[in-house]
Amino acid sequence: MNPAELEILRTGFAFVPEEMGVALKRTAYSPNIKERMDASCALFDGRGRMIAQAEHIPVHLGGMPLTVEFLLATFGGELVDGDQLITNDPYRGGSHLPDITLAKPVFHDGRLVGFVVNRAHHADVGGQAPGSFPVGRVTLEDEGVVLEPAKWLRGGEENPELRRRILEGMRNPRERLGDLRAQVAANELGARRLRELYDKYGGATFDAFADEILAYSERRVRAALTAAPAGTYRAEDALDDDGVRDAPLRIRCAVTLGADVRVDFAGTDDQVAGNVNAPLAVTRSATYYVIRCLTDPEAPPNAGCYAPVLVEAPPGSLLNPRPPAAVAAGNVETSQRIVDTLFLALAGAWPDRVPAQSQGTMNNLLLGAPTFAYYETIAGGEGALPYRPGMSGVHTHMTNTKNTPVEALELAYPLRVEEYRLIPGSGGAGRFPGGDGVRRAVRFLGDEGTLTIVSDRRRHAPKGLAGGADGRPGRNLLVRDGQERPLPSKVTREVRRGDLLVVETPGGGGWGPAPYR
Amino acid sequence: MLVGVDVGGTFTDFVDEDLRIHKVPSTPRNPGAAVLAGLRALRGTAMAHGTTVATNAVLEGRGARTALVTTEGFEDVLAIGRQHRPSLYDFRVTRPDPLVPAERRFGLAERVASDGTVLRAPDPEALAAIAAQMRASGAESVAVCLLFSFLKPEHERLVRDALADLPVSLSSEVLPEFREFERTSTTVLDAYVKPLVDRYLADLEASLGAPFLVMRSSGGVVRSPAVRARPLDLLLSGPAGGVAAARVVADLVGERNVITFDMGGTSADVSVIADGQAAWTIEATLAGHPIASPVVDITSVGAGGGSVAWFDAGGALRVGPRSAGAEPGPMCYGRGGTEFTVADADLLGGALPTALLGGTMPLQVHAAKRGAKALISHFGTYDEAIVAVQSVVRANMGSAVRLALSKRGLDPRDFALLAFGGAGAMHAAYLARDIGIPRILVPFLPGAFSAYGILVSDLRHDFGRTQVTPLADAGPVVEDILAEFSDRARRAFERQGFREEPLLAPSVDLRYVGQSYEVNVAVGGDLPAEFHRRHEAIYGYAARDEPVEVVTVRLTATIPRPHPVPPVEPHGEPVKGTRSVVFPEGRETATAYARVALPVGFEAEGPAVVEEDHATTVVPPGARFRVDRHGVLAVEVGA
Repeated sequence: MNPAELEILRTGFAFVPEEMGVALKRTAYSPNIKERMDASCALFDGRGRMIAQAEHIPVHLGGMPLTVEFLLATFGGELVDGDQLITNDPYRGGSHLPDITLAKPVFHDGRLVGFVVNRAHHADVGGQAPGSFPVGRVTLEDEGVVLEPAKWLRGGEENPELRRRILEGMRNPRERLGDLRAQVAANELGARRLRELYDKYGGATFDAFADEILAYSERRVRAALTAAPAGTYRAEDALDDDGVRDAPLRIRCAVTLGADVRVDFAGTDDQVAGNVNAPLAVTRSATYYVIRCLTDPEAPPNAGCYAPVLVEAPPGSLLNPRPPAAVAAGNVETSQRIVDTLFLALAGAWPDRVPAQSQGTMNNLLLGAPTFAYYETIAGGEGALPYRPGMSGVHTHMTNTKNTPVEALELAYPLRVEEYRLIPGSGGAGRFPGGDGVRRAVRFLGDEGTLTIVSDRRRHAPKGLAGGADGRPGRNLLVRDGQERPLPSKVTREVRRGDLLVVETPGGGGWGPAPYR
Repeated sequence: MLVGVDVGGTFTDFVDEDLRIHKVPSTPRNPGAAVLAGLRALRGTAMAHGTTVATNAVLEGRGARTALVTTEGFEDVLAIGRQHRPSLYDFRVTRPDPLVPAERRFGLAERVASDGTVLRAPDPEALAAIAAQMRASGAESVAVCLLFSFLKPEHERLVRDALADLPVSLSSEVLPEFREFERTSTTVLDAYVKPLVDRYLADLEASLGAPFLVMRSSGGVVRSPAVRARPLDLLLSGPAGGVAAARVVADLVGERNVITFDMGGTSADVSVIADGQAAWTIEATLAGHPIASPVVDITSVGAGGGSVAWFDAGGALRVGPRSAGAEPGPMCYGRGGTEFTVADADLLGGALPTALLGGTMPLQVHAAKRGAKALISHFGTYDEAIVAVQSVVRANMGSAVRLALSKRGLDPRDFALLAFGGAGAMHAAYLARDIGIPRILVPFLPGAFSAYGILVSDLRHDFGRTQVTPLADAGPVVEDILAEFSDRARRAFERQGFREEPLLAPSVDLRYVGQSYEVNVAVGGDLPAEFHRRHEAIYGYAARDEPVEVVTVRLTATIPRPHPVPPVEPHGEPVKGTRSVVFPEGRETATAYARVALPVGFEAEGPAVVEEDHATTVVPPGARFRVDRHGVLAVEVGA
């Protein structure tokens, strides 16, 4: 395959998941998918190798290949044209229950030639709390409906048993079915496009291309890997707590760079009673994210990129829990700490590329009342790079979803935002200072409601690097009747009319010693 | 004599009412010099002007020292934006710095609630304090954006009154619509370019002795004083002339659905005209700064004649986005260019003539060959290397076209590809084939198409205001706003000396209650039914039982202007000879036609090239072309 054919085929096949994403965004029902694009699309070959992925959200990087692996193992020979498979099982490649994956096997002249797959974050999948994010001592069952790998469509027909479970188990089931149909439609479009390409180029070319594009990405990543000195790099970092017991949770890693990258999380704390356990798919995604940032951020994302990367986490640990551990926040909080720990370890290997620590949390804020449900993640400070200051008020690492405009929020909900600004000086000082965190103050104007906050870095500050100062940790406050009360990092509680919720997000760490003034 | 004037990076193009073309080298440091020189040459007494002075000021960071007044507590909305980063994995890519730094962002203690009630009115002392701080900051212009000012503009007006001596842009006038970050960004851009645009247009007015027409990003023109008051509308006007011209041509040949494809030296611009209307957007950006007022939706790809071919770390051939530009330019320009570009491939492939600009700029084949040599080891032959570079650049452009259609749920088979710009017609046929577009159109005046578009554009004013109201009882509210807009439109045209009754196109942005995105629907028919229908067409479903609400009320007022069409007056021999041309199918002997010699109704088959002064149309083997009665070249590509 010559270098132009490779590029032309890459462009053509990369557009399949790209266009699926456009269709999904267009036809989805809920704002979470539509506006925030908390979803990912990918194309696999008939052997289950990921050929192309549209870049929407990093936390899905490692999960989809694992899910397809499980699906192939479960259904291998029983797949027929017209099937679409479904699962959200965090113990079979899923990230957390709200992320539902739909996969469609694609046939050409009766032969299985590939899969088109998409994963989307649903606003609610049932369980104890609206938004499926209950804080406290919980298990997977408390977090929502678990969909083990199953056929959602059989010959194009929806599975009535699953449909019943969704209707009975999830809040706002009409929206769920609307979003699921958008996911189905995106896969149908992807399948059509894949068949068109197959017609245009022929099976032999497609197979040759699949091998070549994986080798190509692997070459690019390996070329970048050779820039780092071989050796084993270690680090340790911690989550503040799990929302149940007020004690830090340690993550340890040893990264061995050689011909390959071996990442071992041995020594990490055991799984916990709260919801911060990270399923292996999330642990892998966070690791892949770090390797992608440090090696070749533009290598076409496919299985080849990760061929040189081996990830191990002890079974029963925080980063490879056993069922039925709860996992909702593993995806949003623990994933960030895995990234922090790995960057910390690799600062010695790539001193000119590794950033100081960023805010390290997504500051999930959920406000619910019988009449409405509002979910938001709040930006913070980015860690400084060895060549530039960190950005202020920005989402970092494993998420990149947009905020809700203040005016849109107030037009839709009985809420008033009283402050939305940067916290000057919250980024760590340094030759390049860390980005500043954000202060967002929201007044509750409904009668009564439920507040959930899932956040971290309220105690352990984001670390500076190479002599840069740490960022300032975040704070959560409730102001009631003029009295300010601190809230824990992870909390579910009632709120009353007039309560003011204040979330201050962490600043990023600085890089290099600050100049003397 | 009225002259359409389009200032480009290399040349300033002129087209007069008799459709005579003139080109003058641009004078980037003082763009007005080239404009006046060309007008003199054509004895122009009036002009319709397209200018990129505002755009360049933003791209190069040369705007005014601007200050910003916000509601207290929200001074950093401009800096936080929508809180996302521009690149997921590449730390080298950052958000642009806000156009107003923290030290010139001032909070005013005031607040309006989401229903328009005043929670806190600004007190006179606070206003005086802000005015003093503003002067101390050395601000040259001021943007004011207070929360919910589209419901209650009074507070912003108080700020303006306190700052009588500075140019001020109020968000309630610039863009009275919700979403505070986008509105702030848009208002700041207006203030940022205001002093500079004012000087530029005032100087030209003085030189011409009268106001003149200016092209705006919406695809219409107004008189220069209206632009000086609201320079924001210049920022994305560069490619709008070409789209306006494309609409005229599409209308002439009876095509309702056209994709415009303008391929120049550094980039290719793509836009969609569906059902006769140019697609617009409120999500455009310039240098990373959102512009939320409606503009013609144009996608730009770094793919042009100057795009450089290179091999990446994995060994794949890439083309662009880096361009060799005009200096040193492609290797075949012979000005010291050392990198092989698309133009070099086009020259060696026989599509690009051996001299440009009507024969005055000879190209150096041997220089291009030197570049191709470096590629041969990867591809075997010159011809394969040429096809490789051309195919890769087309693949990049193809993705842009597919995306533009896909996000609107449109099917390429229903479209024609209208190609212009120096390289457009050369690459259009195979691009169309790649995507599944059945025909391409090459308009008249392809070398000065944008200037022609500026000459013939409608006079146009756009209005919009957010007023969230349930659709069921929105009737009177919408009518009141539309009556006010119509009145303002008439007065605006009258002020400019246009007494014709404008054509009014009222519309509303509607959504299902609880959704966060809107669908624009024309006012006139059955609004709910039309909304459900359009929602289903775009998004794939309709929720007919759900309540619908009005979000933003809009009005476009236009006064059409004459559309002169160049007569087809063939002269000379149609067949100039043959050329050896490299097609993806292989090298073939193509017939070369002189476009000026082709009569209406002329038909022929490929392989062929149709040559004219500033463009060459490549007709693949197996394709047919025909000259329609307006002189538009239509190529059926057999896709």
